[in-house]
Amino acid sequence: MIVSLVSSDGKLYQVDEAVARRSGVIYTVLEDIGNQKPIPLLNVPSHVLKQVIEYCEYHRTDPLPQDAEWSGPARAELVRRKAVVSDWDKKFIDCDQTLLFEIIQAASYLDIKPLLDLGCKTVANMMTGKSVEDIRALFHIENDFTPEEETAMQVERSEFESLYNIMIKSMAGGVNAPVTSLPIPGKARRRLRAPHY
Amino acid sequence: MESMSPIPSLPTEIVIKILSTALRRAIDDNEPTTTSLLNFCLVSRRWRDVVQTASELWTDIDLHWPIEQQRTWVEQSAPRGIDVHALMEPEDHFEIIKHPSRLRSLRLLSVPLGYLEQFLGSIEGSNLDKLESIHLGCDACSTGMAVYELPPDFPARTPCLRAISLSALRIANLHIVAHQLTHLEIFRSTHTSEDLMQTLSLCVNLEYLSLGGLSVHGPYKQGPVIMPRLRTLLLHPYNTTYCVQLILGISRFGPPARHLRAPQLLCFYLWYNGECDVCFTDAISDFTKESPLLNTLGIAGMAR
Repeated sequence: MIVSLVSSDGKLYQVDEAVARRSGVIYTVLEDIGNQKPIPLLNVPSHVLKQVIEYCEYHRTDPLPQDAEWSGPARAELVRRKAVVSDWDKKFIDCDQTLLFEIIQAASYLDIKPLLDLGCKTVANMMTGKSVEDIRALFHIENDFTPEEETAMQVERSEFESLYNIMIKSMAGGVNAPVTSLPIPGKARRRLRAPHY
Repeated sequence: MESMSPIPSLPTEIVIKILSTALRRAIDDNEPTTTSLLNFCLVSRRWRDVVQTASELWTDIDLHWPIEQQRTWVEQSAPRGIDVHALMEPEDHFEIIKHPSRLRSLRLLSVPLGYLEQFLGSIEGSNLDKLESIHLGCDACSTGMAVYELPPDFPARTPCLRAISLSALRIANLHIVAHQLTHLEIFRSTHTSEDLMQTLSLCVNLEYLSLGGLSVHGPYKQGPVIMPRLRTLLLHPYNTTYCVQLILGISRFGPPARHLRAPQLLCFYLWYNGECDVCFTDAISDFTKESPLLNTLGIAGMAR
C-alpha cells in the first residue's frame, strides 16, 4: 500500500507503507485514521524528507526498536560492542552540518529512533576529544560568558581535573591518603553543593 | 556568529540527547564524566543551563568519587535511576546505599569478593525495582574461588532485572533469576556445567548470550530452550567442543545434531581454540542456515 506524505514546503512524496511506518508518528496516524489522505509533515522540508525517506527505505526490513522495557544505559552497557554504525549509515550521515541537524530534528519530530540515535552519535563523535574552544568553533557557538565568569569556571575545571588525577593515582596506589579524605578545592566544593551557578 | 550555526535552533531535548550520547561515549572510553560535563558547561550559557537542569546527564556515578560529589550527582539526577560503577575497591559507598530503589545499573569490576558481599549485603532486603542490569567482576585474587549466592527473595525485589554479566565470579544460584533475563554474559568464571544447564534451561527470554573462558563439560543441549528469542550469540570458551555441544547440541560422537532453529538470531560469533574440530563446520553451517535473519557471522580461532 502507498502512503502520501507532504513536506512543509508542499512537495508530495509517495512511499510504501512499510517504509512510512518506520516513523512512530506516521505509524500512529496510519493506525488512527488510515492512509486515505496525504499526511502533512509541517516541520519537515522537502530536502530533509527526501533524506529521511532514503534512510527508511534502506532500513525498511530492520526489526522495529523494541523500546520498551529497558532501553537506557543499562542495556547499552551490554550491547554496545555490537552497536557499530554500518558503512551505509556512515555514508548516509556524512553530510554538511546544517543538513545533519535538520535530519536529527526531523528524526525527533517523526519519532524515528534509530535515525535520531545515528545523528546524535555522529555529533557526539564530532565532539570527542575536542576542547571547549574547539567545540565552539566546530558548531559556531558564541562564547557568551563574561571574562570573569569564564576564568572562574576554568579554575573550577582545573580543580576538578586535579582532584580526578589524584583519585586515579590513589587507585593505583600512588597516593596513600584515602580518596574520601582528600580535600575538595574551595570553588569545586561550592559548585558541588550548589547545582545552579 | 551564533546565527550561522544550526545548534542554537535545536530544541532542548535534542541538545540533551546529543550531550547524553557524548557522555555515554566518554564513559565507554573510560574518560571522567565530570570533565565532560564541566566542558559542556563552559561552551555557552545555554549549554550550561541545559547541563544543570537535565537530570539524565547526572545519572552515572563512580564510587571512587568523594562522597560529596556522589551526593551532588544523586541529587541532580533525581528521581531517575542511577548507574553506579567502580573499577577496583572503592573506599566507601555510603551515599549510594541510601538510595537502593534508584539503582538502575550496578557495575563493580575487579573488586574483592569481600567487598562485593559487603555491598550487596548492604542493600539486602531493599526494594530494587529500578534495577535493570548487574555487571559484577572479582579481582585476580578472587579468581577461581569467588562464589556468591543471591538471596532467595532477590527475583521478587528486582522485577526489572534483565541483564547479568559476570566476570571471575560464580553465582551459585543464578537460575533463580534466569527466567527474567534477556542478556547473559559469563566470562572466566567457575560456573559448572550443572550451573549452566540449570540456568540456561530457564532462560526462555534470552536475546543476548555471551560465554567466554569457561571450562564446561557436556553434553548438555540447551539450545532449543534459549534459541527462540536469541539475537546475539557469542561463544569464546576454553574448550570449544563442550561449549558448542552445550549450546548448539552439536556433537561429533553422539546422535546427529537435532534440528536447531534460531529464528531471531542476527549475530553469531564463535572463537574456537585447539579443541575445535573441523567436523563441526558442516553442523555449524546447518545451524546458520536455520537462522534466516543472521547478518553477522564470525568463526575464527586457532586450530591445533
